[in-house]
Amino acid sequence: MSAIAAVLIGVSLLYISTTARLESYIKMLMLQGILLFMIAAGNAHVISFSSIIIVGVETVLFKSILIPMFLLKTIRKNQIKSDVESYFSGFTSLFIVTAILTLGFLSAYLSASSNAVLEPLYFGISISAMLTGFFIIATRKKLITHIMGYMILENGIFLLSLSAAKEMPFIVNLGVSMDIFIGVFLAGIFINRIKTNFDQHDIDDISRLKD
Amino acid sequence: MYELLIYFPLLLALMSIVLRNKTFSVYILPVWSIVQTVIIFFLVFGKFSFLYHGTEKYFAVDNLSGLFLIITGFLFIGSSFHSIDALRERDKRDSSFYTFNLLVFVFAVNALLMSRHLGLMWVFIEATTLSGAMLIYFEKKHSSIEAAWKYIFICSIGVAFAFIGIIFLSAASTHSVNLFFSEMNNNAPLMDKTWLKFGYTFALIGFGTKMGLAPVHSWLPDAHSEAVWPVSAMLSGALLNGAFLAIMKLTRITELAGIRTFSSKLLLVMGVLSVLTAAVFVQKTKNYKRLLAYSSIENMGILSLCLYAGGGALFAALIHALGHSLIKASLFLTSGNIYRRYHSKEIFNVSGLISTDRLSAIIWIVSFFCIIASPPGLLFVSEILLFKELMQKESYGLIILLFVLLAAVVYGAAFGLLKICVGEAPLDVDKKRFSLRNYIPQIIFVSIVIILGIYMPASFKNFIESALEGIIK
Repeated sequence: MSAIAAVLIGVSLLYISTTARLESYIKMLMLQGILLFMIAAGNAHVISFSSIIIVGVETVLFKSILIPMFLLKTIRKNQIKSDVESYFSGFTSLFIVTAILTLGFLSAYLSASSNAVLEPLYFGISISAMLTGFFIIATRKKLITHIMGYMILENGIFLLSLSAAKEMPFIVNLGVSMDIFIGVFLAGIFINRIKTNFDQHDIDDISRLKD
Repeated sequence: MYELLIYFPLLLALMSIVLRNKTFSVYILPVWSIVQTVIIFFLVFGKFSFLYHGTEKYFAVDNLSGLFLIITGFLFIGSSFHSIDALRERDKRDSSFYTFNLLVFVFAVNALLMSRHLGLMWVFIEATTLSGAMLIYFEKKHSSIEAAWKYIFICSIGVAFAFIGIIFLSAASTHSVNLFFSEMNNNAPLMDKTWLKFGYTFALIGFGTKMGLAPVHSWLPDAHSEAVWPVSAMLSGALLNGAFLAIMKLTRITELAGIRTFSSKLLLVMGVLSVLTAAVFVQKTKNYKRLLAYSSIENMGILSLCLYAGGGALFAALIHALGHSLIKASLFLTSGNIYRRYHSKEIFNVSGLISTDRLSAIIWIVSFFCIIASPPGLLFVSEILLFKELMQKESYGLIILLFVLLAAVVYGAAFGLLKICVGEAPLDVDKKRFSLRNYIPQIIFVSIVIILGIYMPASFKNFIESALEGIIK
């Protein structure tokens, strides 16, 4: 079950790389949140019941409800066109993310042979998700897609922390998810401001400060 | 008693946002900053040590965190007295917003300095990013939005890297499960070397982003130049030190695990790159606050090189951090005085500071000589100690390279910073007298640095040396 969920996260990365619509990005983020919860719940014998509650709040509430809703609201409020605007074509992006997934599985294979306690499948997918997040941030023009790329990166990190199979203390987990949530929230507010001040929301608008 | 440093700023922050009273928002900052510094002195030097040494789980004040807390306390006093004038023409909404974010920032810095757990430290470092972004955004201009966006985005990705590093570190520790620094130090020899190397690399890049080390420094000049001047002083003096403390503790773990040569190489690369970046961009920039920001990058590079050198240079690192924080705060606070007179941050629009504001000019020039590490200042002592340690390691190539790069920094900084003091002042300059609270903090900071540079009391030396034991414990 958890293994299927992990593979589905990998598939969602491929879908994100090809789609040209912002709404699909948001749907994929919601899906990833739920899949992450399934993975965490599937490993319930490793982690305690109380932390399942925390993880549920983190994944289902924050990652797949509050943050996507907020991003959707930001898009509607600022009338951001639903076109993603990438520097690369869909095919090139798909090719690169496939390469990233291959790299992820390669690293999973290598990690399986090391003596650290890591779940190889999760490890591979998490590496792929983090790299895909970076790829999205680096190659998409719109600032809102940068936040989404950051969320994909965060999802990868969450999966990585599951693969390490070591529990962070309750307070740390809570703090991390609060930080990420507030961070996305503030970034959304700045997008509103950038829209009112610059009439656009592209990376080109925020490259005036330089030496 | 340490709880006061965590709960009280939060409580006051909430009060300022709820009350929305301008008088409260403006004057709570200086009052609390003084109370906080008194509490810190009690915690560090008082006789209550049995109350907090090692008994608490997540937070503790030892001499190492104590040193950085004292620095933060001093800077907070300085910047809160300057905040009174910075908020003068603002309405109650802006004032309470500013006070709220500054107090949350101070809370986060206090908590991060006292954290004994790596994960918790991460949480508070990210919290400084969030409150700092709102402070940078405070002026609500185009450029401040841009700077705030870059700051929040680059730093969030940076600390995300640090979190990857933390996960790798926990994967490396096959025996201990938790991420308390003391536990990690104890278990360091048993850690898996490969994963530890991965973890350290990611954590160094991540916390290095917050610290402003090249090549991940790009947010720093924008943020420091666009923030209001009391905030610039806090960012440069308190925030960068917090990230440095994290890197210092992690480097200690690599030393205990026996991969110190690996971590040293990374620190060397980032340190030299930072000094190089500063040396190049100091020549290029036309904005005096950006110039100060590049000087911060240079000094962070030197701190990183101190960690690289190890041994006696660790002592140098701590006094360099102290000296740099105080002097840079003095420069940034004075830059506020200059900005209010000339209404420009461009070097070429500002001239004749000596004739318009003699006291600011004197502070500016003396601080300039301290920041370039010329003799009476504390930075001279720390850089000499660093070079001494490098001599003992026989890395002459690095010494020559550093001399050349530092000379380039001095040239660029002198050209920019001293130029604004001389010449004819423009006609539209604001010549009204400022209150003394806009000068006294800088005078105190500069005096501390010069006095410690000339005569370092044995008790101060002992304090720093016992602080170094804090990362050994």
